[in-house]
Amino acid sequence: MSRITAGLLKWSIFQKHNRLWWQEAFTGYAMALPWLLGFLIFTAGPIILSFYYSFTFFQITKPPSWIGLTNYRILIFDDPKFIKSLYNTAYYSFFVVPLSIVTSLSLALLMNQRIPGRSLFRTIYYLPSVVSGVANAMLWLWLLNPKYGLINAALKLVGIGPIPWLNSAEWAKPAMILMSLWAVGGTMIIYLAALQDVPVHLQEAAEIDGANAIQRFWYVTLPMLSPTILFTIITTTIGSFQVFTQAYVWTQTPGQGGGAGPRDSLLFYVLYLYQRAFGELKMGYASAMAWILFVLILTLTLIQFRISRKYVYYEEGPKGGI
Amino acid sequence: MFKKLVAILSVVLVASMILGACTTPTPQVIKETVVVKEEVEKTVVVKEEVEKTVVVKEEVEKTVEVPAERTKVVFWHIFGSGPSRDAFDQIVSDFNLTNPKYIVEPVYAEFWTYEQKLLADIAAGTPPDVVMTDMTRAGQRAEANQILPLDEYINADKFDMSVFWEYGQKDVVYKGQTWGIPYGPDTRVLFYNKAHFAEVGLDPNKPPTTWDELWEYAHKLDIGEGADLKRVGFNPWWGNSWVLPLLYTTGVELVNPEGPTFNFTDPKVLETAQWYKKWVDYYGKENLDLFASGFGTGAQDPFMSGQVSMIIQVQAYIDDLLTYAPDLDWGVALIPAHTTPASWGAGFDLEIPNGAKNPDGAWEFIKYLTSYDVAVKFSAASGWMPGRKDAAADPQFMSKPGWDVVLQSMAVTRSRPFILECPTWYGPLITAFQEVWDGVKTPEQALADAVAAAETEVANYRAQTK
Repeated sequence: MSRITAGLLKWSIFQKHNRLWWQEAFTGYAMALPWLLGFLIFTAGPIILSFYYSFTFFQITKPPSWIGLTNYRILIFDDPKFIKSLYNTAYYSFFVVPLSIVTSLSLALLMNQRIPGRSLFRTIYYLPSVVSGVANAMLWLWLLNPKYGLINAALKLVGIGPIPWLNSAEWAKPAMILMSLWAVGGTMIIYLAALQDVPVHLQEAAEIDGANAIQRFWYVTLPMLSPTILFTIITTTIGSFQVFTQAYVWTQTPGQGGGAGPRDSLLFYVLYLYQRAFGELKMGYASAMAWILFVLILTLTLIQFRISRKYVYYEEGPKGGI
Repeated sequence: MFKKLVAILSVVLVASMILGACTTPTPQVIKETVVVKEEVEKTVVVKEEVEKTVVVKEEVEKTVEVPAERTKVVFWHIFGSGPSRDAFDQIVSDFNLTNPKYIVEPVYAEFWTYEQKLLADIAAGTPPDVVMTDMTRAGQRAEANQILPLDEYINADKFDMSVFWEYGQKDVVYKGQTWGIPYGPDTRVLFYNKAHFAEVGLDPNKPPTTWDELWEYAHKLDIGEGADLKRVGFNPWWGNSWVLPLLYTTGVELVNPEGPTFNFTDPKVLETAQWYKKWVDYYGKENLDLFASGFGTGAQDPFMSGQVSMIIQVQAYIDDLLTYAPDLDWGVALIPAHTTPASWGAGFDLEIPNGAKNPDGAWEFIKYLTSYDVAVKFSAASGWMPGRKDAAADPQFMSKPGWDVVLQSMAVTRSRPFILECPTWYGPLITAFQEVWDGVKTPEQALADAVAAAETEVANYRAQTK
């Protein structure tokens, strides 16, 4: 019976579409072809290949040789630097995600007030996000200079002694975290947009019922923002696990084959992946690292979705979720 | 009509992609004329009180017919601008004017991304013909089939490898074959401030030669102590030193490529680590960090600004001192030795990538670049160290202050041996010294951990390639 239904269904698809429909479809695909080819050749292809390479020893200029799970086995059990890079990255992420969410949300709330010169302030806070990663890193190299940097100069005013920042294994990561907070403008914009969407009638209703500003924020604004918060937590987590540029710029020493800061304190996951891939030509190993990172990020994201059920409020009801 | 056009376009697009990937490597034949600057003598009649004929030199642009049917040699260089670029352009233009068979096309490739670009181009089958890259990693590229052995060329031309500095000769050999020609090596020497020496009663013409003297002199040169350091005599980490220059003066063989084995727990290495520890204990880590936080480049260079009296730097620092600190009274000495004079060096070599379209022309150009006159000419203008011993001793350089010491140092310089199973073996060693310095591990523990880390790398490599 079901066979007949399937057959009928198939027939009806062919019946349903006349020659014109097929022509339109063809033109549509032809138009999309450049993108489609680009995607298949330059994105999907490498992704699939990297999965294959992760089971091989591959130096690019020699055919890969199949070594099964060896790369994964070494990474998980026999590579202290892998653990170190994972620790450094998790440490960074652990601080950056909450700090940048709180900072950008606070900024967005401030920038949502009706204050004079609001557009100017919004522009100023957004500007750092426009600066390219390398320029950013170079600039912060100066800001963080222990003797001449503005950061230590400011700290001195409140009586905090000079911090060696990038010269010390203990302070290098906090320096990175501090710097990342400078570029929260992008997240701030997302929050600003979300704040505009918080219905005024709910605010007014709460106000009439006698809720003060803090209560209105806690019981009205925040729940309405929760889908946006979930979104930014996920994107910031992913971004923080892929941190590379600043560490790369700060640690490159010509002729040393790529450093990683004092006592490997800036050896972040992707930096280590890069060193293995391009410094030592171990592409199979690096591919395995990339896939482990993918699984890690995927797991983290799924956990965040699971947790989010408890706090995210969708106006359309539970089906409105992603 | 339009749909047909789209269809045709997409077919052409795909076809061109496929065709583009299948070109066979053939040297590109060039027929062209180039415009060069040439000095010509011109007779000019000059009218003065007495009429006489004088010869004046005038620079004119003249079109020279380039010999027909020459093949192109593509060379990636790293000279973006400045005197090295000017000298290099001149050298290439000389070659192109005189060579009957080849014409060199220099392509500037930025230093930081050089190796990645090269890797991509070798993989794509479109590499340049000559590259200039890290000499100590020639073995890695050889192992990955990325470069060509040069032995056939060397034998056919009876090319003399013995003219190059010893460590360069060793670095370019891997598994019995020669993979590059040394170009631009370096060495590390001790720079000391003669005025500071005189000021504290030390003989400005007798720099320290041993570790004990270095220790003794350094502390005579110190000014202030604790958090109030005003001048530091010496710190083994500052400048361009790391750990190898001083370690090598103990005569230790850090690695044995056969095996490979790592001798980081050798008593000499342990003694060096303890000696490093002695320095940091003497000054105090926080005090040194605080003091070093004012270091920078240019006017804030610790040695030029007189904040540090003795520092280990590469020989090119001589030119920096002559340019940026003309009034400073300084001297150059061999690295103070534990037992034997030694230093650490690295450098570039010229290699021919696998897949080069014109390897014969590449070899011709390599021979030209490393010939005596050209080497002297380039080094004189750029400040680069010649790869040849004879060129480095050319009278043109001997007038440079401290150059005699640099030549002595070059003769005892050692590089980092290449270990296929663990190319970055020095990484764990440096980390160990940093751990000792920071006081997070004892020297014994840190060095034992470094050996374990290197051995794990070897085991991992073997597991990946068995």
